Amino acid sequence: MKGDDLPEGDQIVRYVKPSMVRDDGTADGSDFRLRSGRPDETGLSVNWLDAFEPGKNHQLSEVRRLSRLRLRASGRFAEMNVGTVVRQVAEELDSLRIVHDPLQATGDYDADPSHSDIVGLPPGDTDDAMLIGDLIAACVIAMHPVIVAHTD
Amino acid sequence: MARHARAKHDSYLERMKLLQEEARHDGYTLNFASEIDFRQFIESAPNMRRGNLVLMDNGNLRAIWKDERGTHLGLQFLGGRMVQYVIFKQREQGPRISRVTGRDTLEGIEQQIGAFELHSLVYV
Repeated sequence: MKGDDLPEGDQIVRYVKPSMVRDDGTADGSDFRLRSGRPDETGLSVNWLDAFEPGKNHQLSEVRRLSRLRLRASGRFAEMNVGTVVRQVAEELDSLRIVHDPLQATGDYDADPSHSDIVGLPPGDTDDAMLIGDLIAACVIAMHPVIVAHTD
Repeated sequence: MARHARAKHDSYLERMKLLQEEARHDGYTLNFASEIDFRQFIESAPNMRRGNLVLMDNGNLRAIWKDERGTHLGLQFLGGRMVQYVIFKQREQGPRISRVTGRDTLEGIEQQIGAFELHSLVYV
């Protein structure tokens, strides 16, 4: 239900822009902070994989299909465990939550039951925001391609 | 050492070119003041290890050095000879990681690297 905390055992992904994917293919913490030019932004968009039927490939495929972002081939989906992120960040910041924020169908877009937000983050242009961003990035367990090459 | 430093410099230039291209597609550009400071920083020490480099959506370059134990130095080049740093330092004893963040001058960052015993992370 909208606003509920996601279960600690579940997985989420966040789309990481190409210029914030490090040389070694890992996600940089700079993509896990609120944007300084967007004071209206209160959370970081993520997708709750377990909103879909099991199977990582299927879940990622649904995230790709329903995304409202302009996904680029050189970007990546960074996968994290909900509980790990909340517990790790709580060592420095106890306000962070990962809450369900499903999107209704509008215009050209289908409904997205996986959309969720990481909320309770410091303002994006602060030093604390960068530290928390790096802490979240350290929780990434896998990086997935945004575009899947089909060989058949 | 000179050849090694040149290769590292060229590698950074190639990386910056790629990052600028990626950023352009996403609607933002490299902050020239940030680039100047980054270049000055890496040219100040030829024995510096090659760090990871990203271009943030505010236009600033950020360099990151990290090891397998969780020690980590992230430097965002703000322009005007100022740097925002994030340090995760795995202590020798105990599981606790010290985490600090702040801002300092290009020269002051050298002292932070020393104070947090990050020489082997950043320099060959």
